[in-house]
Amino acid sequence: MGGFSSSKELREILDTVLSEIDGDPEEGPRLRAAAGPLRLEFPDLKLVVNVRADDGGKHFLDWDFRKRSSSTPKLKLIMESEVANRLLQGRENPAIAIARRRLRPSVTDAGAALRFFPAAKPLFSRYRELVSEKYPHLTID
Amino acid sequence: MISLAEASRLSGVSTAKLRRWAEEGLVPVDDSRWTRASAAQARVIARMSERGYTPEAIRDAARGGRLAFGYAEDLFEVPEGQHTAVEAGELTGLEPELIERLMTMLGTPLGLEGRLNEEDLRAMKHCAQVLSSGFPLVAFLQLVRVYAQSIRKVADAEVRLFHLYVHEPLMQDEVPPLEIAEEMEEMASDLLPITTPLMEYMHNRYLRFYIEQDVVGHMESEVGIGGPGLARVSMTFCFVDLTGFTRYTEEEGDEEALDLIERFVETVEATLPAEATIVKTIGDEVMVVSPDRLPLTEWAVGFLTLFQERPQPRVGIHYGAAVFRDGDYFGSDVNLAHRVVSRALAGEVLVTEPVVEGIPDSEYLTFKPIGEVELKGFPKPISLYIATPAKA
Repeated sequence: MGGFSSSKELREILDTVLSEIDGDPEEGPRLRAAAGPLRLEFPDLKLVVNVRADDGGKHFLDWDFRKRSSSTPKLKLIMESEVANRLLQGRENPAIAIARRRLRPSVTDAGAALRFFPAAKPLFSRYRELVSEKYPHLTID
Repeated sequence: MISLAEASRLSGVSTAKLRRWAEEGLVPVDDSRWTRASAAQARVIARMSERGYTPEAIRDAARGGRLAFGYAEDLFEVPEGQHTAVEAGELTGLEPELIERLMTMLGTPLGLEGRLNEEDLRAMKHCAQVLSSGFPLVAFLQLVRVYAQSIRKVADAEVRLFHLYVHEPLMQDEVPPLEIAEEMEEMASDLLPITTPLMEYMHNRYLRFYIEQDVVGHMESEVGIGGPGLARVSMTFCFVDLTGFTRYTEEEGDEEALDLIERFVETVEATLPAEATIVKTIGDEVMVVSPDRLPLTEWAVGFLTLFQERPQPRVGIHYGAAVFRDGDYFGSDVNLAHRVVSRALAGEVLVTEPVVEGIPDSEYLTFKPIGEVELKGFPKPISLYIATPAKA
């Protein structure tokens, strides 16, 4: 397995996956309810993604890749990109990754964790599908 | 639409009485047009009357649409046949005592009447086939009990959820009773054929998963026989519950508390290591087993990190042997794990010595001894340890 070729590549994948979920009438509202707001940080790639509910009415989700976000995350997950790739493909258990300090959570609202993990399944499965289809160098057997 | 005579035949109520009930508004009939739904309601009214309900009480229930559930009976054919256990024994090759035992396990009033219809008889033939294939009786009886308990829960949930989410809202919207009955009949007719393939799909999916687990388990776990028909398995037993949940319920209300439990159990399910399984949930408590001590303990430590606010979870873990029966685990080692969690503080993972012994050189976990602790029901004090992430 190779790593991400660049920060741009991970950003591109996350953007595609979030767009797909946003356009799904079932998965969109579920992640919207769970993204209250959520921030994923990948320090090795100096990349951040902030996800929150979209208030405009046209979309379920709103996300950006700004380091300084207007929204304060209720759940922040910090991980190296290699861990992110494993986690997002369902190959790394999130709770065990926390115990092993490979995933560092910062929780300001206990409800945020309770909402996020059950709702994150579509995020993982869409990520896995996209990687196997378009980014085979990231696939984990 | 059906004729009055047909409605009478279906409901078992005389045509004269049906006419009177329709005039009194007990049975919803539009312009003398009888339907299967109104006949089903008439049957329910006849039963309520037999049970001593006053005409006023029945009328109130009927007008509010509460009796519209009678539709469902038409979805199931009434099986024919009246066989005694002795007759069924002759037809299936099973001992009559075993047939009675199996029927009692099924536990419905039909099963308790002691008579078997054609459907029961077919089921007994399947049971005879299973036993003639060599599957041990002691295991088969457990399996029947698990099937009965699980399917009973499924059917109960289906009816209750249908009532809560379909029937009640229609009544609240003051939809006319006949319309309620017809709408529900239509929806139930659409849904019922889907449930069996859906359950079959889930059954196959879980079978595949557990067969795989069993193959791995054969390689790793010690299995012994703890007595006649008692298979003992070595397992890691883990209990997780929410501290302060009673207070949370009092402060936030039942619905908020139920919502919290659902999300809590979903999060446990979504984050558990692959080899771990939820055995049961009891209120705010979840029982998990795993053949491996390390991943389950790491999971517990990581999982609790996610909760910094009340009601915070706490975890108790013990490794030992238990009797596996009826899909559950029994024995003093299970009881011990349960006692351990009740000693843990909020946000704490408390483990016993066999857990620590099974994780000798963990790079990621630290076990801090808290000494020997008296636990109710255990004659000797038990050494307990707090599991935390190792310092970097």
